[in-house]
Amino acid sequence: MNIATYRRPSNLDEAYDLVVKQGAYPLGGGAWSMSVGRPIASAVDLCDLGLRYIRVEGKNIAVGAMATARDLERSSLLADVFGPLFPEALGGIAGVQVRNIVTAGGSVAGRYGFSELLVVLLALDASLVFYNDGTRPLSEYLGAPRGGAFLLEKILLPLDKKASYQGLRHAATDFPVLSVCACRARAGWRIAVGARPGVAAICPGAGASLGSTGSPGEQMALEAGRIAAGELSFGEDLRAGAEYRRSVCSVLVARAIRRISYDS
Amino acid sequence: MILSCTVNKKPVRLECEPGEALADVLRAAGYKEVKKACGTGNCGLCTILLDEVPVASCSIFAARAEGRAITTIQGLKKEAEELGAYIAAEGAEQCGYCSPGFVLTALAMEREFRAQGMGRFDELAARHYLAGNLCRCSGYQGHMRALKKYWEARNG
Repeated sequence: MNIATYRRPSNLDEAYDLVVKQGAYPLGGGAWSMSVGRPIASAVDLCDLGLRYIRVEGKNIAVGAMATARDLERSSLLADVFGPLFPEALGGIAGVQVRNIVTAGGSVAGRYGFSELLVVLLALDASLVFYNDGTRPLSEYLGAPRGGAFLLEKILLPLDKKASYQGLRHAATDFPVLSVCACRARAGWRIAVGARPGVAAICPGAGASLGSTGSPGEQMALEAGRIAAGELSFGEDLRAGAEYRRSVCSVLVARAIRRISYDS
Repeated sequence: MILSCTVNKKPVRLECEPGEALADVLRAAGYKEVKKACGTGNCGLCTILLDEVPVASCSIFAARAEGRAITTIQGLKKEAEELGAYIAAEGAEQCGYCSPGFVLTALAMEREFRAQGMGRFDELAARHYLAGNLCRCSGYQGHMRALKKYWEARNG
C-alpha cells in the first residue's frame, strides 16, 4: 500500500499534534489498514508511545491502546479479574500471528463490526481515554457519528464485573457470524451483541429483563435471549442472513447468561 | 527509507517504502524462505518471528521492524530440520509451501508451552495455536502426529 509520509513520534504530544491538529492517519497494529490497502498521505505510527500495557489504575484495569489482542488473551491480570473471558473472546481472531499484530486501540478506532473485542468492552461498560480530550464511555463513542480526529490513549475496564462471551463462526479463524457478551455488575446486566454484521450494540431490554438477579434461571435466560433478538437490527453478508443471525442471537445470549449463572 | 534491523542475528539495512509489507521487503532482499500467499494474514505462510514472537509478515508494515530482531526459518535451521524430519516421516510435508510458516509457528509454540510448564503434549492447545497456519494438502493429521512425536522426543 502507498504511504506518502511516515512518521514515528516518541511522545504523545508530538503524536497528538500530528494526528489531531494536522490530520495524519494513526497506525495502530496496521493489519487492517494494510489489508484494505487504501493510500495514506501521512501516516503516524503509534508504536513508540509506550501505550502497550495492561495494568491496574485505581478502580480500573487500564489497557494501553497499543496492547495487542494476544497481550489481552494472555494477560494474567485480566485472567485474575475476568477469568477466561478474554482468551475465549479473542482466541479465535485469525491466527496467533495476527493477534500479535492487531491492537486494542485499532479495534476501537476502526469500529469494526466483526470485532470480538468491541463486544466484550461494550458489555463491560469500558471507557475510552483520549489524549488531551477527556474520557468517554465506549457506548457513547460507538453511538456517535464518525468524524473528528482523536488520539486514543487507553481503555479503562471496571474491576467489579463478571462477563461471559459466546460466539459462532463457520470455521476457525474466520470472522464471527455473531458474537455476544453478557456482563453482570452490581447495577445490573449489560448484554452486547456484535457481528450483526454491524458494530456491537447494547440490548437494553434484555439487560433490564434480568433486573438485579445474580443468577437468573433458565426461563429468564431464554426470555432475555428472545428480547435481545427482538430489539436489535440484523443484516446479511456472505456469512449469514439477518434472520439466521436473529435466531442465533437468542441462543447465544441465553448461553452467555447461563454461563455466568453456573459459574457463580 | 532504510530499515535497520537484524535478520537471523545478522545486522542488515533494507531499503523499503513506508507502506510496504515486511514480507515483500524480506523477499525482495533475498529471504525467499518467507513465503507469501493470501496477503491478508489468514494463511500463516509468511510467518516470521519478530523479537521471538510469530507475526504474519504480510500484515505488518516493514517500518515496524526498525531496530528489531527478525527470524526466518533459516535462523532456526537446526530445530527446523529436526521438526521437519518428523513432519516428513508422517507424510505431512506434501507440497511443502506452508512448511516454513508452519514450522516457525510450531517452534514458537513449543517455546511458549515450555515456558508455561506444559508437560505432556496438549493436542487441543496445539491445534488452537496453529489454527492460523493453513495447509491445503495434508488435512493436518500428519502434522499433529509429527508434533506429538517431536514434543515427546524433546520434552518427554
